[in-house]
Amino acid sequence: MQDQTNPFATKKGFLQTKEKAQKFLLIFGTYSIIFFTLFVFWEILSKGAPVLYQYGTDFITRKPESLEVLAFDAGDKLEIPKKSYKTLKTYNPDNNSLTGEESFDKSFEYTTFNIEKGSVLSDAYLSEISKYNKVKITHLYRDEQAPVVFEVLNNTPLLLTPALYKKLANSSEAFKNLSATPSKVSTNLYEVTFKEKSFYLQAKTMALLADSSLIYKLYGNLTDTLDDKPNELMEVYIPENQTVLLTEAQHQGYLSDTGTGKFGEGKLQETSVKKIALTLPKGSYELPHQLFSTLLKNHPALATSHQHSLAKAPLYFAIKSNQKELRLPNSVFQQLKKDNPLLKLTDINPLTISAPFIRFNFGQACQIKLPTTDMSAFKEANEGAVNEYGQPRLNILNEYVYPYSSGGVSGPVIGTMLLVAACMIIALFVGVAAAVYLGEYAKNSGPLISTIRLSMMNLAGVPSIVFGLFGLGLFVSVAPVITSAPSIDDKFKFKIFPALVEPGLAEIEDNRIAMIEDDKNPRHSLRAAQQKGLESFYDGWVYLSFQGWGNSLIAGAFTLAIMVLPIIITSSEESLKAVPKGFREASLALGATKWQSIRTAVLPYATPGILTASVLGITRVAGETAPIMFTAAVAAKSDLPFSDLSGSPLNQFFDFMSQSVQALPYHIYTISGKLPPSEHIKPMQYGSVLVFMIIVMIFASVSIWLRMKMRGKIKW
Amino acid sequence: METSSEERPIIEIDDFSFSYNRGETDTLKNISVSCPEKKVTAFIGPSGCGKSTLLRSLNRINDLVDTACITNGQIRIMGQDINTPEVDPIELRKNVGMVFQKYNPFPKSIYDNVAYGLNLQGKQKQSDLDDAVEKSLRGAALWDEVKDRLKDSALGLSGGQQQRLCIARTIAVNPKIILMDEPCSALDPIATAHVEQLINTLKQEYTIVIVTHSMQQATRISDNTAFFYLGELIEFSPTKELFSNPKNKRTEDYVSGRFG
Ligand SMILES: Nc1ncnc2c1ncn2[C@@H]1O[C@H](COP(=O)(O)OP(=O)(O)OP(=O)(O)O)[C@@H](O)[C@H]1O
Ligand SMILES: [Mg+2]
Repeated sequence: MQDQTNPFATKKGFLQTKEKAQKFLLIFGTYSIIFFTLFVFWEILSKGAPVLYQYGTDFITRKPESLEVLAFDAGDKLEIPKKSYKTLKTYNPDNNSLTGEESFDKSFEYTTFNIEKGSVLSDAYLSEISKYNKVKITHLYRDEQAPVVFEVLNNTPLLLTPALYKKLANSSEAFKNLSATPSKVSTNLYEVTFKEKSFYLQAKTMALLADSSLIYKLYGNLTDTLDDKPNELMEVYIPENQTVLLTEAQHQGYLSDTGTGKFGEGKLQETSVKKIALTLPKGSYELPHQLFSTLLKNHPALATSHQHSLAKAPLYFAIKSNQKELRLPNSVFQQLKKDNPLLKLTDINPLTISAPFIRFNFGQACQIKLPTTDMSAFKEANEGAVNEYGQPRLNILNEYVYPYSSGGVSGPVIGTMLLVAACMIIALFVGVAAAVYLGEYAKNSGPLISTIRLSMMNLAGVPSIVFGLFGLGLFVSVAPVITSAPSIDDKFKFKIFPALVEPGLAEIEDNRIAMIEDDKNPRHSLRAAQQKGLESFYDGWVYLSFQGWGNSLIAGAFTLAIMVLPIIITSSEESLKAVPKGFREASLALGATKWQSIRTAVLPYATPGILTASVLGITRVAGETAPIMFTAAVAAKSDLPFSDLSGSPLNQFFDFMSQSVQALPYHIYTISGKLPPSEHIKPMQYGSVLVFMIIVMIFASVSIWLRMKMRGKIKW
Repeated sequence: METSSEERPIIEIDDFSFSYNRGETDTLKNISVSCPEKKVTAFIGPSGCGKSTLLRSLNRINDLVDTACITNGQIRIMGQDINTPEVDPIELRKNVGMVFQKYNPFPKSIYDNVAYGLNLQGKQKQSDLDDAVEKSLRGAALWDEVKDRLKDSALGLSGGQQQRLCIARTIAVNPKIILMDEPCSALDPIATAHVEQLINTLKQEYTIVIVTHSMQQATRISDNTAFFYLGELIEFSPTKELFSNPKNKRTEDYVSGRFG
């Protein structure tokens, strides 16, 4: 009865088939998205989660490190710090040849002491002290006059210039009492004319010419090249025609140079010089440091007992210590005392410190993986240890190093957070200001405003690599810096006001600053710095120098900020527009000025919308590699951004902002694209990607939560 | 009810023409109206005839419209032409408050809404603020209803309360003149009665200009009434006279409800 009476029965036919096919296509399209999403997420989760599980919180809190894979012979009674043993277990979860582990406390002999205020010490010992103590060492200045005690092992004949002899006699009783005989020594000088030109000379020749009065600019680092390959050709630029006198040695070196662009032989000028001859008897002497190094330079034959770090004069330094006294391992302390006999040390006490260690055996030959720091602790702990047959206990058969394949992602994670935070502060500030101006003040008037809108729209479509190059061109290399030590390579600079403080010693040496004594012309200072082969100069003025911010956090943050600006501006403008007109009118009718009305009756109600824009911005910024590649990111950095800051808070802030950082996307790019593939780096890749995804999600959800909180408060 | 014609009216609109499109067409055409002090003046007329436009010209809130301009005549308030460059619109608006058709309290607490105008004028002593807020709320006959929930959001109030809050917010800055654009259009009869009562009390202290669509309301509360039609002022006379004895045919048609 149902088939005849139902007037609404489905009619079969072509239309119905077509309808079904269309529906199927729609379903297919939708589900393919889900399929791909699931695939990607599954891939990352299934491979990343086990990594996080195996390495635990270590993965988040450790810095990226190299992985050392060592093959060992069987060995017993090997020692390792307890902390590193834990790492050993984590990294080699199923190594079953480790047997017989037992805990014990290993004791180390230290000496505690205090250094009297105002002491001087050489650089090498300062770094030893900071290695074993929680101290902050400020380099005050180098003391060229600090006395050095040295020992002469044999009677040594010396030929001194009268000036040097006079200085020696004045500063040391021992020298005064020596019998000195004046004598005449003739030397040959060669007059050589150099024309303005660029040419090539060997590094060893440049080392000789450095002592002459020739003005030149050298491209490249002389000291490095000199160490590696003294015969390497280096480009030299002579800025103007000059005639200089060269000594016999300089002239010889110059003539035998294999480089191109010779100027021909010099004209000989014979001069005779008065010298003082004397014999330095064997014994111990004390001299100001500067005199001693001059003496050494002129008489390399002078046999002396070894002085620690003679290249640089001892340092005056200030130590700020969290500990009551300083400590050094016994052996280091003994060496310190021996090398610095004049150093005033007080409160010297022995100290025994015991640290928890683990003793264990390798049952059979095996391979273990460990991050570099733990591996070196392990090696150090067993250094020199021998078993009953006189064989070394730790017998390494083979070792491999895989860069970036261990440790964790703390550096990149912190770097990314800093970049994102700094970028969003800049972008929100500029973006909201621009949106308020465009939307509230400028309205739609004028070709200028429409040009701005058009360029903003175009900016949104620019590929991110272009932003990277743009940041490199603007922020990294020409942005202005206020500094008393402008770089010699800046675009241009001008004086602002006299400098208040001279750069500190550490700064002078680190930044290769040429100290120019009151020269009023910056061009002379610049020339002098160039001639010395240094990178910047200080002449008592503070400059506004367009030298760029370098590869730095701040340059990266600005580049990223400019990249997200279009997003932020457009959506901020939208949210400003969405605020009911009534609020504006009501506040104006109550006597508000335009800015007051915007500030109190418009902006607060646009915040949720602006925050939504930041969500988009943050996730995009956090994930970008290209813009930070040239502006902020470095592949490897041994310190976290917070460590190694010193000076006034303002100074620390500037230092902080001008350092380069590691960033997570760039780190992932490095470990998956730049390094040779190996089984050891795979876990790091997937682990890092998973961490990255989690972070982006946290960023997004914090912003969403903020927005919901705001929405709950403000409704209309 | 006759106004004392010797005293100078506080608002003088003199042959005033106004355009929303840079003078192409005039929305208001040669309007002349004067509102005496401490009296209620009502603007009536069919929708789109320019009542709100004229009202909004009185405190220069029309400055917000970029293309708006005055094409003829002037408006003097307290004897001063308000459209000269010497007049600061902010100072003007402090003296000429406005209550809008759709009640629009800020999404803040009741207290903050009332204190908003005072806070704009700089930092105030807390006790002064408290006093001013109470006085304004009492003035707007709202105090007893909200005195226990001053810190609650204003959006939790009923429509009539919200409109009275807007009035309180306006009188808090102590204006001389209050402009009201259909203050009761979104309210039910009881809330309307509340607001009308309030207007009758406010009359003691303030000059009020009110736009209304309700003929009854105009007769109940206003002293003088102006009837507009398509941007022109058709008739302006004391309310009783206008309703009982209209001089113009169109006024008669409108007030008797024969066209709308
Ligand atoms: N911001 C504006 N820009 C352009 N034209 C406007 C603007 N505001 C109002 N108008 C026009 O001006 C004329 C008068 O509008 P107005 O709002 O003054 O009318 P009204 O008398 O208040 O009407 P209603 O009783 O419906 O509120 C209308 O034709 C309207 O379209
Ligand atoms: Mg209106």
